[in-house]
Amino acid sequence: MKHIGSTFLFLALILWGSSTANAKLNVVTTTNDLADLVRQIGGPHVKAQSITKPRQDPHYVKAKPSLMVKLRRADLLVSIGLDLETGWLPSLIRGSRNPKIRPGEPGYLKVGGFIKAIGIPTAVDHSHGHVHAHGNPHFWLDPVRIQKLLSTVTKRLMKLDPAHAAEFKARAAALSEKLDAKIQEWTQKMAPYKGTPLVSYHDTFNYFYDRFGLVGVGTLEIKPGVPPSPKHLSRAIQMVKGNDVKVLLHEIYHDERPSKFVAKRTGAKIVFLPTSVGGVREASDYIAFMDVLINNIIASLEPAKE
Amino acid sequence: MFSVHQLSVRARIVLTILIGICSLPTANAQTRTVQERPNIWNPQISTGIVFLGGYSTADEHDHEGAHGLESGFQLQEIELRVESNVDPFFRGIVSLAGHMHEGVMEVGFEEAFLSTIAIPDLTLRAGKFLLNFGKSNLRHTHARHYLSAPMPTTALTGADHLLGIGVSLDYLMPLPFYTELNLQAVRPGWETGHSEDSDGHAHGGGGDPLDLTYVTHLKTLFDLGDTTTLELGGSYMANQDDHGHLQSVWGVDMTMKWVPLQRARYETIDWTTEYISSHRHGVQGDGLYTSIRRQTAQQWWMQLRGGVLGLTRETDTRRYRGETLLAFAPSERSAVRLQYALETQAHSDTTADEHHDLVHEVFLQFIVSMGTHPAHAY
Repeated sequence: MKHIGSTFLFLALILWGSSTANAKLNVVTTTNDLADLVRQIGGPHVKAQSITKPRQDPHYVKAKPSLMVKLRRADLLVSIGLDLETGWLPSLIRGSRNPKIRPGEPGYLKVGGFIKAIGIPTAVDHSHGHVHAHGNPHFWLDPVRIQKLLSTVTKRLMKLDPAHAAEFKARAAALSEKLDAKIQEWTQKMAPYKGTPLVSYHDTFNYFYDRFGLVGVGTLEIKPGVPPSPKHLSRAIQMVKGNDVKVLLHEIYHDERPSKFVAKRTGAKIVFLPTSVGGVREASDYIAFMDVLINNIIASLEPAKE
Repeated sequence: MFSVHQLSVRARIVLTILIGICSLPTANAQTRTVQERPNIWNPQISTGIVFLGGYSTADEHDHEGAHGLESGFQLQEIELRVESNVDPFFRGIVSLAGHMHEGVMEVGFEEAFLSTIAIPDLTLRAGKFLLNFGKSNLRHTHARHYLSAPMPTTALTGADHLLGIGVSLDYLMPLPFYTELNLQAVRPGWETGHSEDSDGHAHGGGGDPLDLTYVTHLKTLFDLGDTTTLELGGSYMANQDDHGHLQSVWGVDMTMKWVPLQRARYETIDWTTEYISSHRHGVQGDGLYTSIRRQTAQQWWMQLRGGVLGLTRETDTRRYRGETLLAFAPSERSAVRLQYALETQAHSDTTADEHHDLVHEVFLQFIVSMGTHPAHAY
């Protein structure tokens, strides 16, 4: 009797597993920012989930087999590209045994190829650390580039679910309009801080600096992905002092000690920042996330301005 | 497999190919502005070197301790790996590897297989590949957690790396948690790692080429929250020995891994335990090892492993091996590892007076990998 029970349970699990395919378009994204955009454009016709958690470093995700299960039934995989996910996504795609989301298929969308990248290295060599040969991948911190990407994401959703094409288009247009107003607001808010020198741990904020006229003086990391040595930290102290940097930007998932070390010896203030939607509770969607970023940076610069 | 001494012409050809292919990635990087890039269709190429140096107190003439590391300098592995999607249906991988064995460099094709990429849930492979037996065999020499394979595994399966020529089918089962079932059927004999003889025939197989070796592997993985995973695996390998008798090896393994979400780059812990039981013509017995790896900073690992051979059922003699390892990985492409191992070595010269000697080993290893970004297995 017990035997029959366990057999039944096993069959039920199999049925549950295979019945996940339903009417909604199953979209998996690599980051929470992409998941939010897909959700906002797709509305009720799309189920979007992110592989990385909001407070996780998207460069260093472990290719857990359970993530392959998440990708197995995906209709569309949306990734940042520009080599951000190169250390883990290829093995997840292969491990998922899902031919729909293979590179080149309609179910695979790498948005990095649709934006104008900055920080494209003049020489590609591994002696320069974890270089991104096609440019800096952190473009989602620039709301203008994100706004331009809306049509790319929308077109792909329309292709995979033509029945709801008109709805996707309308939702994208509404979001774009909202972003228009917010970009204007953010630009005005940041205007008084044009030319402010800043230092971050990793080169995460380069697109953000460019958009709002801030000046990125350097990073605490020696080279992308290579943690600072004591020698480099003493050079970083000179860099912070020499450029009159008052604020250090620190991504929440990086080791705090180097930033604290430099802050202590220079009097600069550290501002801890999420780099993704959901990184802090208030950053519930893309616009809210940018609000958090901008408000935090302004708050840290405010007293320094005096 | 062949040695450089015996077949220097073949070795030279292999070396020429190796140098030729190695020079391609640099050329690619420098022609960014050139419009014509005939090499964009080249497969992904990666290559690596594993260099080892150290000292062991093991008596060289005593082959009981042959699973330990050899004193002196050696190239544990030189690998050249080429892989690419063939067409919309297949992916191909070819790897050429050199391993040093008793002072002689043996070069050969370690893996060469095609696998399907267009079938949902299933992957079918054909060619030469690593056998999916136990927890550690799928790791190449450069990806091993310690400087050598677990002592009980090597002793009970009879090979450093289990390789086979045949077919493999793996199935990602439609369950809400990760469950993979892998079935493999390969040419007779599984001791095709370092002990393959020059004709390419493996030891231990029956005379009939249709007396295949079969491997079954089931792997499951459960997420225990966002930070911890529990992996359970079981595998079974069987074939017929020279006298037509069934011989088999089976094993079960359990791994727990802790990766804090926000600090995944700085600290991780994993704990693996594996039990293997052998019912082979030459080797009867069982063994167990357990290993803890702790990543303490972005570039540092501290590890400890202990193993016993002849746990409940005696092999010839009971043997213990303990290893402690400190690793410094300046980047994900290079590592320096220092390992100290202590092993009991049996002497049974006089059957009445069997005694154990302690063997000490201290080794330093350098690993580098070049080319295509290495894929990180979980």
